[in-house]
Amino acid sequence: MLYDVAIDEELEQMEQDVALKASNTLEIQIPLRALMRPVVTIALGCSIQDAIDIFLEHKVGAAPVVDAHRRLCGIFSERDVLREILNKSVGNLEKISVEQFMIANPETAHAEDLLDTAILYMARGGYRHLPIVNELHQPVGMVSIRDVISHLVDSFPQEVLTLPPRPVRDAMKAREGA
Amino acid sequence: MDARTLSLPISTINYNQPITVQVGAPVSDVIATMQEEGFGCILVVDDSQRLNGIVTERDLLVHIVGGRLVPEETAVETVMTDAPEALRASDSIAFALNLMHLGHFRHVPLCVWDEQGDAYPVGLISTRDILNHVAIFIENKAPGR
Repeated sequence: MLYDVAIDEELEQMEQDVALKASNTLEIQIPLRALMRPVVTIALGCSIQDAIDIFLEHKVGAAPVVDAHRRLCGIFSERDVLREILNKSVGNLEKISVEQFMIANPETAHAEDLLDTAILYMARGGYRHLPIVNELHQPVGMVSIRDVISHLVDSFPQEVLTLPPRPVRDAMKAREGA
Repeated sequence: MDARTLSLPISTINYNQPITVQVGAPVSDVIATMQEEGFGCILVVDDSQRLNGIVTERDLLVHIVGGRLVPEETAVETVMTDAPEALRASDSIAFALNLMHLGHFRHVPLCVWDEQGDAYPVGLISTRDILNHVAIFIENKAPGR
């Protein structure tokens, strides 16, 4: 019996090694144009309550704030709501402008910038969302950490996509046959 | 980037200790703790420290702001997600990535399980932790690769 277990473990290790060698290095570089999502914007002067309604309606966690010429002025996120608004007596959310709590002049990227650039911006700056702007500084898209994670999953099919949603911890032990 | 980096165990990532509140706590306490700790997620445990649920920024946005609930008068159970998916710190990063992708989770609790199958939180991994992990490999990328 002990011998069987040892053989099983050895086979398991060999299978893993083969999978690792097959995966090896993989280029995940793509332009942000291929990754970004259509942008939902908040108009400067919009109330906090309106902005939150936009988050809930469009199921987004952040949105760029734009002026009358659609140029980027800031970014407002659900994180700002948690940090600055909930539990705090800031007043009537329908009367307060989003300008008061947005992050002004956020870091941006262009559609032709590469994924690595976005990952490094997000990691170094602690941002969860990166607005993509055109040459007029108008938002044309948004890349979030979630988009990056989804792209990683798509890029590593043999490593990630074939895995069950949760590890089947005892499946190996219960494996039938030799 | 080398795909093998995702085969490493979660324990190789600099994940966070879990921030917890007890079942029955008002949501105002949850918000205060999240603000103090600078966390976007909190785990809900019972008096034996068993994992009961998870509360995220989005839950607060949807239930408290969207649902017009009063934080002081609302128990955390009202807004939390029950029995969240959890992993072991020894599971691979790929497992966490897969779970986050499929479940649209931003955070996954890391737990140890007792013989009865009860989960006790020992950590929390977020999409940000994985992004930072990937960023380290990008920064250290050897020239020409």
